[in-house]
Amino acid sequence: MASQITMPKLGLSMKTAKVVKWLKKEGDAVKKGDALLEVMTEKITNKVEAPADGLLLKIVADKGADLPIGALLGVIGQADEDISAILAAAPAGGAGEKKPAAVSGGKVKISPAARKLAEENGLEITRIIGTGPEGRITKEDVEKAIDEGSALADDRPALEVIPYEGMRNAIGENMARSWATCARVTQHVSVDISGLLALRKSINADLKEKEKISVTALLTKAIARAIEINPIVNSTLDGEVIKVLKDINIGMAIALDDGLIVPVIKNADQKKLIDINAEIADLAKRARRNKLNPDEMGGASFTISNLGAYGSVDAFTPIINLPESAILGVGRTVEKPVAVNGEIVIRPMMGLSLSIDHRIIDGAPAAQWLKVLIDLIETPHKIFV
Amino acid sequence: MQMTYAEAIRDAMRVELKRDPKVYLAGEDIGVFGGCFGVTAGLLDEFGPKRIVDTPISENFIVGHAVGSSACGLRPIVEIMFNDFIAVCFDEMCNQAAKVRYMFGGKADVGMVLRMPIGAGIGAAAQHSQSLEGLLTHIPGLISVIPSTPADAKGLLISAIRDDNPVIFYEHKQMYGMPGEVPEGDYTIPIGKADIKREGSDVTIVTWSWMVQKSLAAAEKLAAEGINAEVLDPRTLIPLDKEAILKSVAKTGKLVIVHEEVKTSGFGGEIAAIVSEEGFDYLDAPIKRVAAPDTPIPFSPALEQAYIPSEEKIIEAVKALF
Repeated sequence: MASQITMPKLGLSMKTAKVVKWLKKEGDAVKKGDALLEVMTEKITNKVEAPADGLLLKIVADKGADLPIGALLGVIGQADEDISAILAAAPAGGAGEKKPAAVSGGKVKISPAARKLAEENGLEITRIIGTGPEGRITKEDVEKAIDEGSALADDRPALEVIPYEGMRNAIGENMARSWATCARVTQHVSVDISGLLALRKSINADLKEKEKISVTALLTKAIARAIEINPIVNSTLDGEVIKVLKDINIGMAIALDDGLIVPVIKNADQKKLIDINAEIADLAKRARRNKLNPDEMGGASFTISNLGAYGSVDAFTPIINLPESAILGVGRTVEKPVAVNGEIVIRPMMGLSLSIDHRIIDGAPAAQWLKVLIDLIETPHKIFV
Repeated sequence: MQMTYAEAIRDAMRVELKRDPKVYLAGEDIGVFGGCFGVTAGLLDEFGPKRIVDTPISENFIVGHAVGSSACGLRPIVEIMFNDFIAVCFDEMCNQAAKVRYMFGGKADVGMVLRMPIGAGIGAAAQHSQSLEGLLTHIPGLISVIPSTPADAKGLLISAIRDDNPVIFYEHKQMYGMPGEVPEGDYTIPIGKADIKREGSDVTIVTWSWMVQKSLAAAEKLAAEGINAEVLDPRTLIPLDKEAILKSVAKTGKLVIVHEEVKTSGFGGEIAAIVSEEGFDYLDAPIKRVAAPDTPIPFSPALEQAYIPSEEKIIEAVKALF
């Protein structure tokens, strides 16, 4: 009895996922639980496992196909097993997401002569712009693409060739979309964290080593409180309206070896500091092992991007994680001479960079919100009042 | 020498009447009257009533007797005044002329020629204006010849008369008076060989009969706009010179088929199918057909003009591919 490999549900918010690549070939023998292919949602890349022992008889969903939950990806069965009924019942899972100029009903509009020429020259037809009637790719278009390709081909030696796909592609597309969409403004400020560090020291004095509170956790709590006091940065543009969101869900950008990921501390305003601290540590650990549940990466209303630990960045201009309206970049903390009450003193100064989408938030309200945050950081007991 | 299309046809018949005593003509009003369109004028005086036979008004008889006489060794050239009347002799063509040689194992040949004028444009209405050249191409055993110039008409008619198979020879009424240079004396053109009437590189127009002339005129106008059309005249529909068509489409990548027949089940559909089966990878655009609409031919001269495929329609079809 043949088993169907179907698109798994990788989180509550998932609607479709894209086939990144197959790890097995048609005809390969597989065991139940073997990783068969990688699929990617907007947020995460996951492996789909074999539902049964047998031979991978048929790969139905091609690389690049964007398919809904439950869609047929492939079939496992015994050699010579008749799987035509399964294949006939399933909608075709061909490569989707192809959006060149001339696509009609999922097919690229291209003349037979042009298609043959493109195949002979190894050209991906989805990348050729059609200039014929109704946007059809003609032989001339392919000839032009061949000429341009040979002129532009970069044949400089490379140390490494990294495919622009999977997470890399998702990050790239999201960042480019944000950059192209938002009216981004970044406000920079240095803030004295001596009070915050002192508070941390006194809290940690009574805590076990494993439970010691990080600066990030305190900062997250401060930000959640600042949003509670002034929720302007907790907004989103939803079609015709700007919604100031009720839930304060803080995304934490976490660097991975090959990209970055943004797990979310949900309702950070309602959580105890010690819980937030534990949650951040857990999310970061699991994120680096690619063990996060996709639902743990959705629903952020505001994001923190912390580069402080690298000790090399004072301030930067973070790109907003759409559909959010603001992001706070955190730079390094450096001891600097500052004037306090007419005297020069040395204080640990932390760089903050607040990027806002000016379509949604104007400069003055953003500056007002930043003032609230600075006040909380510099007199940190107020976070808990 | 210069001859009209009608004179070239007459010249071909005269050459063969002189060469072969078994050749004779039969048809309505072809003798004393000289033919409805004057094609056989003078032949009765020259060859006498045994060779130039006026028949009763019975197309069924005209074709039927030719099947019999050719099976017995004669070489009849029979005329049906309008190709529309082929309908009344369909059994003679479909079940007799086309089948005899095959069913008798080659012991009898039907070496007859059936001449038929086709075409609209003379105000002769729905029953005297059709172009039905596609109709008999569906019946294996029949040869269909359809010349577009005086020289082709002469050379192909002589070949048709000498052929041992039943040949249908389509003449277009609009071209009877059209002059052209025609070789004198014994002159033949092989049946089944296409002719490129105009060389081009950008689009192939496959067309025959009067539409060759219209397509050539359209090609000149297209050339002024930078589109260099090749006009290919197959000259015989059966057998069809597929190689010539495929070779031309391989060169140009685009195919427009122009015929005066109605579009549905016109022979252009067959050519389009052949090219998509055997020349799919050559195509750089969809195949276009320019044909008459699927309607009886109107008597109103204005509507009749609208019915006939025009230079403008050919130009429009070609341009749609660029």
